[in-house]
Amino acid sequence: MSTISVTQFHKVFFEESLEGLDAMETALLALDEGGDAELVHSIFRAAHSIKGGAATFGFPEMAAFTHEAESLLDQVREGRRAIDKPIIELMLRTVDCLRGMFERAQGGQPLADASSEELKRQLAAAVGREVPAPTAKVAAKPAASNGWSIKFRPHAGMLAGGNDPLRLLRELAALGQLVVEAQLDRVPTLDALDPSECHLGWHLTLTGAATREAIASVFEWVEDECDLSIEPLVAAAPPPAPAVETDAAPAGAGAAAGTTRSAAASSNDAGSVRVGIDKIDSLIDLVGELVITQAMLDQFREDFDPSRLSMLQEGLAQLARHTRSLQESVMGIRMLPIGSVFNRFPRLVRDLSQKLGKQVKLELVGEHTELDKTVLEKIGDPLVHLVRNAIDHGLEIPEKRRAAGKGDVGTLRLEASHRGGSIVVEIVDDGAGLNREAIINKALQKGLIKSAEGISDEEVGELIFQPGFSTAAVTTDLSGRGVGMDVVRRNVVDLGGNVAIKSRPGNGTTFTITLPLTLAIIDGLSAGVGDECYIVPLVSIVESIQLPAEAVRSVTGGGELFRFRDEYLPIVRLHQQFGCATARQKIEEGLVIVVEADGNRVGLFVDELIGQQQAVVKSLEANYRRVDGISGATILADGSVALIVDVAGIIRLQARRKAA
Amino acid sequence: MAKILAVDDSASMRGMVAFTLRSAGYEVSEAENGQLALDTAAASRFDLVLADVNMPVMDGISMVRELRARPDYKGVPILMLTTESNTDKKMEGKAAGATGWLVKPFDPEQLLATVRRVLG
Repeated sequence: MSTISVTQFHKVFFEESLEGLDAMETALLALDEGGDAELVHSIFRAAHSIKGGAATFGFPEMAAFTHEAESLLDQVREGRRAIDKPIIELMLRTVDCLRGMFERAQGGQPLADASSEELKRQLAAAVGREVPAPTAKVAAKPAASNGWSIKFRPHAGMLAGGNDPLRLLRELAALGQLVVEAQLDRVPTLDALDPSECHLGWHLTLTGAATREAIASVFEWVEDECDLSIEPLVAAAPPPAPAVETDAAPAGAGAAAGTTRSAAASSNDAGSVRVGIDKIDSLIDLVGELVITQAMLDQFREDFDPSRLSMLQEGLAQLARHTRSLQESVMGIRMLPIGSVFNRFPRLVRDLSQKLGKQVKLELVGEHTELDKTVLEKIGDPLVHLVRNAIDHGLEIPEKRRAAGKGDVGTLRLEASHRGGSIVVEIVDDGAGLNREAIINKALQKGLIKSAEGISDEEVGELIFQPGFSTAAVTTDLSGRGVGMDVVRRNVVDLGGNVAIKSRPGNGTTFTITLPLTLAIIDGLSAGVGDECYIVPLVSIVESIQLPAEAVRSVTGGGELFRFRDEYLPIVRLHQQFGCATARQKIEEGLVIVVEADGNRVGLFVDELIGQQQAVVKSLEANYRRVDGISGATILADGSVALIVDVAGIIRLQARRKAA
Repeated sequence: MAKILAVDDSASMRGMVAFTLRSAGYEVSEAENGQLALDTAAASRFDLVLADVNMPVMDGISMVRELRARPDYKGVPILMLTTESNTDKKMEGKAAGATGWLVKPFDPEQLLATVRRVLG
């Protein structure tokens, strides 16, 4: 049995502990705003679980660290200490420090560092105790004896506690040679006997090298439920003189355990998703339905008769329905509530607003809105940047707010919602709005625009997304981290979404992020070019038109343009772009699909449109290599492969060609 | 083989206890808190209950008290899994009707040794 290794539980321990830390942080922030005692209990519970787990799963430094935090929380929990700002601050730093320890634990690195040791000292000082230094302690050497006389009489109710005296006798027998003599004097007559009570007592003689401690530990659980005496046998040799023992320094033991930790913890970034049991149940239901449908269709294999055609059609329709539902359910497994990303903001907003001397009330709306896990993981950084930005540049300090006739406390709202096939996340502040003049001046200075004449508010908003743009007079360490709004937009666009800005001068700014529900399946239009089939994402398509030959103008350098509404758009011939042969070379023989990305439009020339379909996106990079203008591949109903057109990429390529 | 109910709000702890006991051939059911444990214990009878002390919804000590009040569980061993090394909690558990306790951290061998001791 010695083969059971606790390392296999590390992953789940890390996961639950990180969740526990999130809960601790949330509760601490709620306490900061005057919460109740239940919050203290939940914080204590989280710390307590981490300590227990850390000790069990082989992280003694973490257990020792958490022990100090737990002691402090215990004082608060028992009302021996009031919870105040400094303690909340200290506990928040503890949460951060533990997160760092978990990160290092996952990487198999040593857990404790200088800052964790310092924090541990501060926690210990707050508890009112010096850091325990290795101390020598005087302990009496257990007295040895060549035998013991034990008198053991359980109280009548001992059996009710689940302790069986026979178990204790068996344990004693394992310590040496045991002679058992039962005391029957208290056994009542049969009519008065209650079988759930214990009426016996024992005189026991144990010979051998057992210590008094070993014997006492057998009775440890029942010492308050029995009369017990343990005496050395009369002929016992005199006990040896007490000796001095030194406790080994606990730090040494900790370091040793740290280095022997298994490497299993370091290779666990495969990622996992927690799925609600209801989602799994619905999947199982659907698979059940599918099996029934399959069985029904199977009948037709043996004996098909044209008279049963309608049944076959019905069966196929059912199959299509179930497959669709199954697809939706499976996609649903990857969907997680955005709340897990929103959770980090209360802390961020608190720290930031304190640092800047601003008062900010954070409102979180629509935390249950679900997003694809991949999108969720990547949306965190852009959101953090926008929130930082809103507090740093958008919201004003209290004096300025008062001067503008607003309340001292600014409001920052993060709101997530479903809108059509997209997820919309809005970051709304009630600050000063965009400073039109400052932005235009900066853009002039950077050469982003030639003159300030006739620039619309919309265009001013767009300017801040230009690379290298920053209006802050002094680059603070908050927003000015070398990351501009252009990076925010690029990150969002990479996820297939977009960011828009709307400013209300004097009343605030709204950033709107639109994201696709999932990255794994897209709705697309399939288009034929020669023998090939290409998928154009439906979201990028403006419209499809057939052009007469005279609508196309050739320009120098070999490009072609056509007039679409009020503008001239370049034509990208897909057969040229991807080098595939087609008989349809003349513009009037094929179709032009007008597509748009980042506000730019081009016309894609294809032979024909095949139809609208959902495409499961497979990575081309992972299976082949990167190809310009292609974002992935998918497998068609007939088993052949179709490439998915990267509209933004094609537009970039087109612009580069034009410039060259 | 004996049936054991493992009660702990921490999935890793519960997982470790359940895995260890199952590897030794015991039949193990799991519950996340005292309340769920009471429901599980009502549905079938267990030969041993292992319960954490600190849990949300219903803590281990309240659970022991309620379990002991049921005729079915009068003499069934209930062990508290506790990190509280102070005697207060142990004694509180005892007063509620716990058979004994196992102090965390414990390793799989210690757990098995204690369980074998109790189940005989």
